[in-house]
Amino acid sequence: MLEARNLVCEYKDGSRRLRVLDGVSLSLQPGKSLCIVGPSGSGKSTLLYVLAGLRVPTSGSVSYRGRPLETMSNAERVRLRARDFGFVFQQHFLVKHLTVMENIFVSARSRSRETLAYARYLVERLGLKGLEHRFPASLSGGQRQRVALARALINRPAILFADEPTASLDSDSSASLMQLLAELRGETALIMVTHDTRLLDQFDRTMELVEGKLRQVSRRVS
Amino acid sequence: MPRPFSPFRYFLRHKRKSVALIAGLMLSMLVIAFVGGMISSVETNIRLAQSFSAHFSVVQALTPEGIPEETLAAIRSHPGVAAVYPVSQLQTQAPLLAGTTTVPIFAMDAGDLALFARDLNITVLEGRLPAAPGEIALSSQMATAKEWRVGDVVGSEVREGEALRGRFTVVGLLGDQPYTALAATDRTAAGVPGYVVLARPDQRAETDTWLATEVAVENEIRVITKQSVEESLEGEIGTFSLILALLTAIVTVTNTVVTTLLAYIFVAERRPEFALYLALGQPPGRVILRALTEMSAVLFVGWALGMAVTTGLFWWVKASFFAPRGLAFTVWNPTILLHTLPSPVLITVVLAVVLTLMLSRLDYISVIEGRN
Repeated sequence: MLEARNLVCEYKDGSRRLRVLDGVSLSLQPGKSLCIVGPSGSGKSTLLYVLAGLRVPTSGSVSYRGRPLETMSNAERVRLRARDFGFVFQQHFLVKHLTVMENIFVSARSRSRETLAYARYLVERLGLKGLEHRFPASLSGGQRQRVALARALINRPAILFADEPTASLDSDSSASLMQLLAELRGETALIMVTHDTRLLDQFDRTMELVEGKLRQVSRRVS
Repeated sequence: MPRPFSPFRYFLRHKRKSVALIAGLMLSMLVIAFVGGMISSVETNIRLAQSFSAHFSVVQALTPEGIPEETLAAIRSHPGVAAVYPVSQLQTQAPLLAGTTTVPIFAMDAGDLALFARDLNITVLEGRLPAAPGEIALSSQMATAKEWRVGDVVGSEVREGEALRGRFTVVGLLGDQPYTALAATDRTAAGVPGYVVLARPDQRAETDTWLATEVAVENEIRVITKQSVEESLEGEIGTFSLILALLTAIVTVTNTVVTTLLAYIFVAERRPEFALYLALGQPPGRVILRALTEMSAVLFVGWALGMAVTTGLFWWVKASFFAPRGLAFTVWNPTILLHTLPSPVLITVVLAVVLTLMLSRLDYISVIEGRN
């Protein structure tokens, strides 16, 4: 479903050129989960954003359902992100002046009764019931990240991109969030980057990014 | 159904910001409308003082010899002329809120005066028309402005500094035509001698043109027509209009700069929010349009409240200051309304440009990553 070939990403750092990704290739099948681990600053987030079409690689190609993202227009990539992809960022990035329910609906493509029912289902499953009309400032870190997860899942995306969603959470909240993610994502494929190695056994595949190169770490037998 | 993008959502939940924007715009609407309203009322009252020109023209002799008989005969026989009345033009001063304006008083023989009043459909509200020399009747509006009542004896012989030369007894108050004043005279009274020329219906313009081109003689015969009055008023009123335009421009520019800066600060604070929308796959155009709609909604509220407060203030000003002085004051003036529009429109346009530039340059991934 998602395939990356020979991704190279370089940044200018003063007069130097930094190569963050150096010939990265990977593929992701529908409904499967992939965890990318690596030390801080290894380029995990950059890889995630390139795979999601948020960043353009220096060279190489990312294809979604057989179509290279680089051949798509800006508007097509924007539509693709809104329609097929979901995002959970390292910071929850909730809109401060919107309530929990309104934040979930920020990315909702439809305002149908079904969407509302699904939002209520997510709220209940994520333990946010009773908090629907609260503002982010009055929520705990774990609750905020769960709202962000509900926002990412509201459109039932084909792929969920998660950028260290547990980074700011304690170990109990991290485990709880990962448990919910596993339960709720259903047919949604998941690519998550993290440096938390305790989460690895919850993924179909794990790859490690070191010095811009990606290597397989383990494969869970299902 | 949750509606995160309702146009009033952001500002309803950021009341201090809304109040700052609304108050800023309201204040500027008040200043523009108030200054405009005051100047406009002065203009209106100056025009009203010369409102006779809407109904008749005047031919005056500028030399002691008066108007030649043949000229007078030509005027009387002109097909566009309905009636000609000998007149002596006096004048008085009517107060404006600041300063005074000159108002003509047409004095004629008592017999002519009754016919003239009939021709112009002048109604008597109180008392009667002047019937003997030394009597005067004036519009109720002018009477209020001058603080004259029926039975009062007025004129320069009675009150020092009064521009109406002589001694007159007020015998009637007239309706319909503001600032009309008629006096009965034996034609020996002080004043500029001449003739009132009433044109036939629908022949005013042609008759005036003929009077201005064929009758007027430089330094000998002056013709006062609707057009000549308009031209002389333009010079006087043009100054007021220029002041209004300048004040409006200064307030508009100052307000636009201040409010735009304020609005820009509010928009710039929302960069992370806009970055999120873009990262989630919302088209930049929609994000810009939404932010502009929110801002325009608040600006509109500020404008509408400003106009509402101004209208209330105008009613009070009219009732407290203008009406008691017999001065006209237009509470709902479309021209003033137009003067208040550039400010919110300019702010919206500037914000549209700023937002477009800001979002087109926004590296939303850097914002999401917390690097910017």
